[in-house]
Amino acid sequence: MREVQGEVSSELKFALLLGIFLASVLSALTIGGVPLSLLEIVKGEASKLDLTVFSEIRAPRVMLAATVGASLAVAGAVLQGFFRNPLADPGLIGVSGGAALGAVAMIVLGSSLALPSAFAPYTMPIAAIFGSLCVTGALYLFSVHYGQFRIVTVLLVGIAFNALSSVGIGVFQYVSNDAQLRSLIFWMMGSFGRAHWMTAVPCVLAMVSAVAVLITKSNSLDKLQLGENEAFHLGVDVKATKRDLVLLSAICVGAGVAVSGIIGFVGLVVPHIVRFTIGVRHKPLMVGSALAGGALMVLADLLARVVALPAEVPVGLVTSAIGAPFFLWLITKVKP
Amino acid sequence: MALEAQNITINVGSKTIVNSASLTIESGCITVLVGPNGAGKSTLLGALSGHSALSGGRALIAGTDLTQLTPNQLCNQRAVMLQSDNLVFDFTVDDVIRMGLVWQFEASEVEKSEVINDLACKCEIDHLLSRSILTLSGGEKQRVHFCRCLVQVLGKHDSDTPKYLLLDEPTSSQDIANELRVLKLLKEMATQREIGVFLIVHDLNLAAHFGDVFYIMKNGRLVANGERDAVMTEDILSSVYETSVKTELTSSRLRIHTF
Repeated sequence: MREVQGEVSSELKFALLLGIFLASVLSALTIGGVPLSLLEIVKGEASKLDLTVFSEIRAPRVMLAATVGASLAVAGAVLQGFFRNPLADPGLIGVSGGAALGAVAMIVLGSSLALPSAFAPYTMPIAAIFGSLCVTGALYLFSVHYGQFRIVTVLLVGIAFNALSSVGIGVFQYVSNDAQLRSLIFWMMGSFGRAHWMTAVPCVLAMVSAVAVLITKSNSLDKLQLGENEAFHLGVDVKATKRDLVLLSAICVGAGVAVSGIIGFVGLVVPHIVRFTIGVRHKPLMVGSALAGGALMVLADLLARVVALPAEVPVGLVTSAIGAPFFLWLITKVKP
Repeated sequence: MALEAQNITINVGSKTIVNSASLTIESGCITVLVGPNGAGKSTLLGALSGHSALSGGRALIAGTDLTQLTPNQLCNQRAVMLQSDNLVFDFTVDDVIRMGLVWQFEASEVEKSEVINDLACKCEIDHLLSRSILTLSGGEKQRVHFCRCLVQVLGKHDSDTPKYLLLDEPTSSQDIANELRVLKLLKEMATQREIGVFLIVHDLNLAAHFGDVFYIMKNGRLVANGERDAVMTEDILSSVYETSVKTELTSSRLRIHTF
């Protein structure tokens, strides 16, 4: 029997986490510039304006925030496990930067590609996924070449990739025309404010399926913690598993960045909180990170849009305000 | 039925690490490999585990080339204990041991726990099961990984398939009592569970006492093999280690020392 040691059982913890997630989704749906009553909407007593605000603005925005939060948190958990590095975060190690470069390239160059307009909702996510895939792949090749990465090395290589991405983004800003520059700057501020069903749904589907497949890899990811040789000895097809992990976490980050810009630290903070409270095995870690990441992002977005009504602060500002001090504390604990 | 190396050669860059090595690990006995540092012992073990790419020769398990088997098929026939410690997250000892549950057939939670508790007792880590692996001493961690490997080979398997246990210095961090415990357990695995044990050790006295078949490796070559009294001799050991080695045989116990 697994020992519970008089602690709260893990089922109860998950129920609690699910409760927090649902509560944050419900409060984010109701609170805002136009307060909404879900009861009225369900009963059909809501005004036409309220209904439009709910279905065209509030609901897609909350859904997108929840999915991006879950996706970034799971990607963070996977990248930390994959590089066996507690300080890995998609933003810090350059994966989000790569995705941003891909997305910016598409904003500026997309019009000259003359793609059919039916592809329009997909081009930016695909470019962003490609960008994050390049960075994750390059990080992986670095780690293969140098054997085992030291904890600090991943962060240093990440600084270099982030710098390269900002060079690329700078070049695109320089060559873009006024209209492109405007949408580029709006996009880079990082916000869920432009969520529409049309553009959100493909990315949401991509993120949800990537997270679902990642959860099925949790056993292999656990075994990889012992080392690659050891994982192989325990029956893991190491090469295929690593390829899948790189690809799927790139989809999580790329699709998230494409719809919402760079939102930092969620992928760092959430998995650590889940490790402290629920455990380090990757199945509970990923499920817990998805729920906690979704809840945190929904609440951060709620805060971002109500704290200075009628204006909005970028949601990335809120997550960084929470995440940066946490990162400092984590450094003192990990001593890289 | 055996795990065999046939003329295995492994080159890394332009350097030959293992040079045309042939070796047989039979079920039910302890095959010991000794030799100086850097002789290529761990690399040969890597080849027998199916992990290392061979430059020449082949490795066979029960007559099947290891390259023909998937990692999942292999893990049901052999467990491997290396000298490594890579964990950075707070896995509990129980979590780590459970990674060895790769069994071919479904087992109930009760069956799994029975095997784990029984082996944890034998490895004297049963009191540590709920502890974080990061808080253990080096010797305790080593016994946890040893226990994980035992769980892997003693699970619910097709009983006709022979099992092998390959160990690279499993007692390097153990005190004398636990060293003895580990080797007695290996003897028990070999004689009672018909497991083929392949053991790399540096302690020649332990090797001589517990081993059934002996191989000596130097500079990538297997230079001697056979039974204890034919292999663990003053002449062979002195020349292999380039140090004067003395052996004493008293009432069939072999003592080996350098001073």
